[in-house]
Amino acid sequence: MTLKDQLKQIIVEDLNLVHVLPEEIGDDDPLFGDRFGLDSIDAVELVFQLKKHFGVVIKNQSEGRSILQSVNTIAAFIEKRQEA
Amino acid sequence: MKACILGAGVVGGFGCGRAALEAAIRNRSAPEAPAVPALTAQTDLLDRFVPPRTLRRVDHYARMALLASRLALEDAGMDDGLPENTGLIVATGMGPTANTLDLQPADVAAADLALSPILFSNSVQNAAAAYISMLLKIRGPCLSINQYEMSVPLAFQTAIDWLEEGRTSTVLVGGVDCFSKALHDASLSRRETKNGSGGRTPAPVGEGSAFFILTRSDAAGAQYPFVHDVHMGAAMRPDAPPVPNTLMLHNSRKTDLLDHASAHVDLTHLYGTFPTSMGMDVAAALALLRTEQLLSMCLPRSDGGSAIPENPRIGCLKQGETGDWGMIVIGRDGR
Repeated sequence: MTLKDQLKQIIVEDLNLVHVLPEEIGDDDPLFGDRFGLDSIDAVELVFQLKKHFGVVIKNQSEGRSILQSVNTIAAFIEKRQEA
Repeated sequence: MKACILGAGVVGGFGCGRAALEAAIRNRSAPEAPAVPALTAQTDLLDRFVPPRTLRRVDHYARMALLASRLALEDAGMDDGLPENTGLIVATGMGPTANTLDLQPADVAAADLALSPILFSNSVQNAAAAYISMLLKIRGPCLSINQYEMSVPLAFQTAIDWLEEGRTSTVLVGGVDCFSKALHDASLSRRETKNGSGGRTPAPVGEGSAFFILTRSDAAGAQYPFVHDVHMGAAMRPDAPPVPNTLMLHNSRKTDLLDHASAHVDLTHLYGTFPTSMGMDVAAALALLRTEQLLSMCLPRSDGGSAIPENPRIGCLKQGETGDWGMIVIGRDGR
């Protein structure tokens, strides 16, 4: 399973997106907004889940806003941290 | 003042709703023995009342309470909603602690103090009451009661007090507890009951929720069953029935209920003995009072007679591990 597939699975399962399948999330789809129904609590939950699954820490809100935009931006952030 | 019961909703190992409980009592059938073993509840039916998307952050504990509450509304013919100043009282012995304990050990062991916000919001003690009041649009007083096995009688007593005080005209009151393997292994697995031959057998373990809509008896029709009385005490008599939950048939209006019970039955094989299982006993008592065939089947008179008392009352007795006890007396005469 690729990192992006893993992220999609985490988003669906850990945020309990009962109405969405992992494969329905496009790599560049905006995660927050009407389509998937994610909100600020989901953002905090996602920060927690990324730390739990990948050991990466998002330090503040402004950093999180750019990282949590899409599966692609999250994957890029994780790969960058893991290379460092 | 007596409080009328306009509707009841139940969720447990036997299924969902009054009809499922009545069928289980009629068939005297326990669900298939599960793995733990515990009589666990399914809440899929909740999707019929609330969009799944709305429920995605609601955990199993609150789902059971929400479903039982919604079934109580349906049973009372209040599908359009509760009266404006309805109060809400949620009794729980363990609260959502059970869910949290089952999910948290790995994080605690890793000394990782970061908490999932979804898990945290579901771990607070009044989570079920909050979800019920939000989703059923309850604007009146809202209370969570945690007094372990005495939570249900205290909740009923509080509901009656609110009605008497005129604080609210309708109260949605009930109990909920969820199964937790961690709690079960730590303490509940040691719970035993005396059997008829003097030996001890493990108490059946379960989970579930039972909710009731109560109103003042002078505001309801005479066709509704009612809560006649709630009694609580700190030291149960030694000759009390040797099981935690008992339904006792009374044909006397005297208050010494143990002396005047003509028959008693334990139905916990259908739903288990979790701390708020007394709510299930109350729902079962309503079923027995509603159907004479069930009443005579479950509570045959000890003198061999078959006649059912003219105005039968059923006392639901809960005995705590430390000798404390509570009894809710349900009747169908009243006015």
